[in-house]
Amino acid sequence: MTRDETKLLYASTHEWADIEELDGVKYATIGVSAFAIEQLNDLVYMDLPEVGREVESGDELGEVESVKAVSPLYSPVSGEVVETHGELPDELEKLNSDPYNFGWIVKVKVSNDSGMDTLLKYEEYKKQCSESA
Amino acid sequence: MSLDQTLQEVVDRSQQPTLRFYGWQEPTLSLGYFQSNSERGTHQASQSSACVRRATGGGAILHHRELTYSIIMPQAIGRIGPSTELYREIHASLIAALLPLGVVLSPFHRGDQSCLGNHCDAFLCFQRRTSEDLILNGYKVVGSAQRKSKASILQHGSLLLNASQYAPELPGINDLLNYSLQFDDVVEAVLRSLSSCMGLTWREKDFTSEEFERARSIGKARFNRQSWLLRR
Repeated sequence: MTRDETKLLYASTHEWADIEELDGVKYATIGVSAFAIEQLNDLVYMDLPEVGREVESGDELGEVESVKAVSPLYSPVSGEVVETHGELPDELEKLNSDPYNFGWIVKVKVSNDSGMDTLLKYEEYKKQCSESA
Repeated sequence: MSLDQTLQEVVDRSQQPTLRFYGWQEPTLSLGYFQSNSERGTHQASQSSACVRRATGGGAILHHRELTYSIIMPQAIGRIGPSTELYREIHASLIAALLPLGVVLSPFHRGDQSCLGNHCDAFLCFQRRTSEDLILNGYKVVGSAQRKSKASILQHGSLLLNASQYAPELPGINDLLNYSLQFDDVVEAVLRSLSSCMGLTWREKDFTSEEFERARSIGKARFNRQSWLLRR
């Protein structure tokens, strides 16, 4: 399956969320947008959260180091981390070419909708990016 | 480190820039956030020094005969990645501060053959080279790294005054120019220059008891824990 970036939701802090529902439970697959990866410039390290960790929308989910800066990644949703993309920290160069498929970082089982109403649709997010570039 | 995190939390809320100069109680090696503690084994001279892990990235710094600064600037939510503008502003200020003292610093340019050491993954920060470093007579004497939060950016920097016995391969400004610049002289010159170059008026302020309390709590939970130092 190939993710369509225009169908994803985005946090103002540049994380994308692909939200699916399974047996009445929402799951969010989360990554970092192509715009952010370009701005971060040469990622060298990434920290992933532990599976089982509970996060609130806006909490730190992990960290990345690009040349000369450490930047936190934030969770766009509230819930429990149920899966992490363990290969990603060793293959960060692939984020540049495939941020929306290979570049997924974590999956979160959504516990409630708090913060979801602040997520941006693709067009709104693109507007934010063009204003901050 | 705990005080710097406390200050960054304050700036996140207040949106007021903060600048802090500090020295260290004992010679201390600070590892970059993502560095492995096991890499310490590759550097014999610093084996007996104290050691901490920073929240900023980059290579290890031996804090002994140097000036450490932290500057925290508000940043709009949505800004991401390193702030090259902040690096440039600070470094322009440092260049301007030290010029009247006869110290001619210049930014590193890739391909500069006269520049000694050029390993992007060297253990010590001062043996790495990027365009955000300042060079004197081929040696890096100012190194820095940043950490973003949601609404601010922290820049840590170190200005090397003299070589330390814990990192004797790294000469400081005084060694390179046969000078005897003191910590306080440099702080005064840098503070003046940061004000004029950045167009900011800095107001001296002590930490509040609440800020000390918050820093103690951060230290207990993070920077003072062995698990934080050994996390990689």
